[in-house]
Amino acid sequence: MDELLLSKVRLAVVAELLAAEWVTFSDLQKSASTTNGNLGGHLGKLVAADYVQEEKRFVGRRPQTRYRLTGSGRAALLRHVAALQELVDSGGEAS
Amino acid sequence: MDSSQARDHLESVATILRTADRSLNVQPWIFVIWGLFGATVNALQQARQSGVAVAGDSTIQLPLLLAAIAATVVVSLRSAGRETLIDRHAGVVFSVVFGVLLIANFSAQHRVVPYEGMALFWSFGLAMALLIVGIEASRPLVLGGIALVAASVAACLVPEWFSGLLAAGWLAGLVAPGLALARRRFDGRAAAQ
Repeated sequence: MDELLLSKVRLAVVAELLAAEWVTFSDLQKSASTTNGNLGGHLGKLVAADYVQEEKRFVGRRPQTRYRLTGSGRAALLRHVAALQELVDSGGEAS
Repeated sequence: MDSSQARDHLESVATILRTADRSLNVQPWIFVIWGLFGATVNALQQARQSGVAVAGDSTIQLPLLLAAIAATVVVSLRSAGRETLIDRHAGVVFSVVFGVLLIANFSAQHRVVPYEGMALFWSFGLAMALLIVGIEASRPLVLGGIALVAASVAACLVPEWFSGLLAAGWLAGLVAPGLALARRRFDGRAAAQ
């Protein structure tokens, strides 16, 4: 099981990014229903692990940060979901 | 983590994937720009065929093409931050269709394909792109694709108004859906504020 994806917020972020190409910080905040600071911390960890790519840019004059899932992030999510499914099927407990 | 927590996490992932955003966020003004470009080129050709004194293809088309490309670059820089998989797919479909038709235009027109043939390649080709992307994600684009096919067929049936009907097809096929998508986006923003 992937330690980084044991957090429900990080798991939700990665799942949201799996279903899209690029998602802005504000859109992620809406879907994750969490605060700016909390989401920023979780995203920082995902970016540091190279699960998520961050892009800062300007749209007109407004700064915008958006994210997308990397290949290793996608692979990690698939492995993690498989491990969760295995745990559910076995009805046991994992560390 | 126990199995009930694992089930809870799996359900949240399944919910997110089930409700995945399949919306089209491509800049609608790109459709308007290229629709106006195609309509203008065809309208000028119709004017020429009707005996109106209009400058030749190369003196008008190249500046128009460059202006359309410049306008596309400008509006693309103002694109929405959210980019769904449908947006990526739409980008690939339109780029491939536009690119291939452009190559065909430069290599075939006036050598092996007459003006009318090339004009039909463009309208039927873009209609296919509109229908492919529209069926997946956007009713205005489906209606635009149907309108462009209908106008192209009508143009073949009424040769004396060939270019005029194609011009109408470009307006109905690209400009109208572009304006509809722009209005939808504007309404969405207004509702969010």
